[in-house]
Amino acid sequence: MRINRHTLEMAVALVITVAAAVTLYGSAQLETGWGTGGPDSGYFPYRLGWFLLLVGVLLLARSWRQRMEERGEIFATAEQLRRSAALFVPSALLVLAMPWLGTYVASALFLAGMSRRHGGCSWLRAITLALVVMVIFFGVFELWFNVPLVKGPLEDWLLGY
Amino acid sequence: MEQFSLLMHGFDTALSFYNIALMVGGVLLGILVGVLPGLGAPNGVTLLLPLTFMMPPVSAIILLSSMYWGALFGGSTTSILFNIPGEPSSVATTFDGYPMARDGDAAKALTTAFLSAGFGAMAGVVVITLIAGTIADFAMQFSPPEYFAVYLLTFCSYIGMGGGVPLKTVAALLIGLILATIGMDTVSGEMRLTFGSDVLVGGVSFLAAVVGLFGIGELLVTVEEGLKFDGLKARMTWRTVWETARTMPRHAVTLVRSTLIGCWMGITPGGPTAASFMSYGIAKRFSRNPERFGKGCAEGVVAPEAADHSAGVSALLPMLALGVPGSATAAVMMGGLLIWGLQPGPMLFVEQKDFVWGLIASMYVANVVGVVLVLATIPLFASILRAPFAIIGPIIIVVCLIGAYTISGKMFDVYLALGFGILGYLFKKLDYPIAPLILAMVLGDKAEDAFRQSMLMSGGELSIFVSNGLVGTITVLALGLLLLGFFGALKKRESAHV
Repeated sequence: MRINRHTLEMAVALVITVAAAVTLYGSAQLETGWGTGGPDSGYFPYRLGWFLLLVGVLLLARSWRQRMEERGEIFATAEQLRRSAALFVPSALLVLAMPWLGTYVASALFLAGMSRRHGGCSWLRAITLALVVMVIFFGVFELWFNVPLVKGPLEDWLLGY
Repeated sequence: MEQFSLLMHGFDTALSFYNIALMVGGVLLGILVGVLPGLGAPNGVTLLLPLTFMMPPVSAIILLSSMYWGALFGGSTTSILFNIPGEPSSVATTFDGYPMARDGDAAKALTTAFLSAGFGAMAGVVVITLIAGTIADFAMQFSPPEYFAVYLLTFCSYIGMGGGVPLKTVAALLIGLILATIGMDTVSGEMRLTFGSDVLVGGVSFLAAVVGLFGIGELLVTVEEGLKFDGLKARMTWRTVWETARTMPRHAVTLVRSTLIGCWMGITPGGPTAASFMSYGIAKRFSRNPERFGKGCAEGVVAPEAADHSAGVSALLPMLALGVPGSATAAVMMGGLLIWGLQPGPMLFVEQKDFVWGLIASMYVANVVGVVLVLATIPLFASILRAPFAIIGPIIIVVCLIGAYTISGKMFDVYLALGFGILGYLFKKLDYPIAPLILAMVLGDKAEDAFRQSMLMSGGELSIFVSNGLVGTITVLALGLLLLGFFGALKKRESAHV
């Protein structure tokens, strides 16, 4: 399976055009003309929205033309996508888990899981690594930088914070 | 010369034990950050920001800028040893740096790069020292129309000089500007583009965008090629350093020319990335043996490195004197200044002389420290990349996500960073430039304010932007660059079809 580059080019151009439309819709809710104090709050975003719409349409046309020229460039092979997804999906899960399990617990699980799955570490090594790294981060962020991170139930119990 | 005595006083501030320790620590951290993919200079600086809250501002900026120099050095290292640019501005270094290393001259390539970089950076600092006062005086004459014209010039320089598809650059700029409008409007107090959501009231943080676009996005692209870095080995000996240093004068012309290009691109915000490409292209054009470029010739390393570093240094000048950052990292540093309660602009040079000249003095020292440290520690840092990426990669992701959270203690920024990560991945793959997006996010509010105030002053007439010599020149220059960008692209397309 291969994804052609021009497919993605068109997709992104389409997203840009939609974003422009959303901007236009959002700014139209405000005054977009000239008030007594000069340009109204909607003035700038409204015009930016129109510009972006124009750019989006031009980009769509451009990617369409490239498609017609059949350049055949690939955006990504299945293998590449698999690798990127192998990093992205667990990261997304980590982000979702952070507010529930707390930064440290969630990250430790993430690190252990990734080292085990992709790094070929044994469970013991993976868990040790994860714990060591997170303890270091705890020291750096909580104690040294003085920046509290999101805590979950386990951490609250452990640390009494 | 008043500059000189101010500089001496600055050295007084910069050479305290605390500040030197910060310099060394900053450079080492910067090299680490530059060597690791996904943790470039803008990211690294973002991560260090919370640490700086407890420091005096001059120490804080010394730490951040030392990290910046370190990251630039580190980025060149991975370009040469792994053919993976650690920074967008070290892409051009891969052209000749990697072939040189592949031919067995890794140590020579690295030394050439670092010495050129050190030269470029030093020259950049000297330039700043000489013209800082002048620019500040100059900037005193600025009123809103001039500021808007400068912002316009900044944006248009990316379109005109950044290379790539101008339409995509414009798209990135517009997206950044629109993102900047989200949230509460400072003039009227109304909510813009928040669609009733509470979290968006504060707007979209550009720091979250930096972490996502430069950090997570970069990692997602790098990881495509597999989770393993097979790098070349470099045996650094003092002999190699000495011998390479001796051959440097041969490249004097390239060095000086590249440094000038870099200074110019740094001050007129074009950025270190554009500077390095331009310098490489020009060096190749004017070389007597252009066919050697791309195969591992020393000049192909000297040119981008000197330009890249001198631009990186001089990009701080418009940031300090005008409040116009010339690079994404300068933008984050400017964010730092604002957090520490300092207002970038000409008044900074008047009211905060200790800060400004302490920083400038520190740049001299930090660059020397940087070159020495990097030459000594490169094998160590390079070996870090040989550790399984399956372990390092996730650690970097955790650091990025924590960094996003520390922006203002909200999970929303972490979600944003992740979203920007996807955008960054798509943008990188499809050649949409990212730096203009960040710059537009940082400058969007100011640009709009300047525009609105100008319109108030002129009663709605756009002609205020050409109303006097100063603002008129800047505006015309900006529009010229804009046209250059589009016509340049058209010409390229035509010649490609022929």
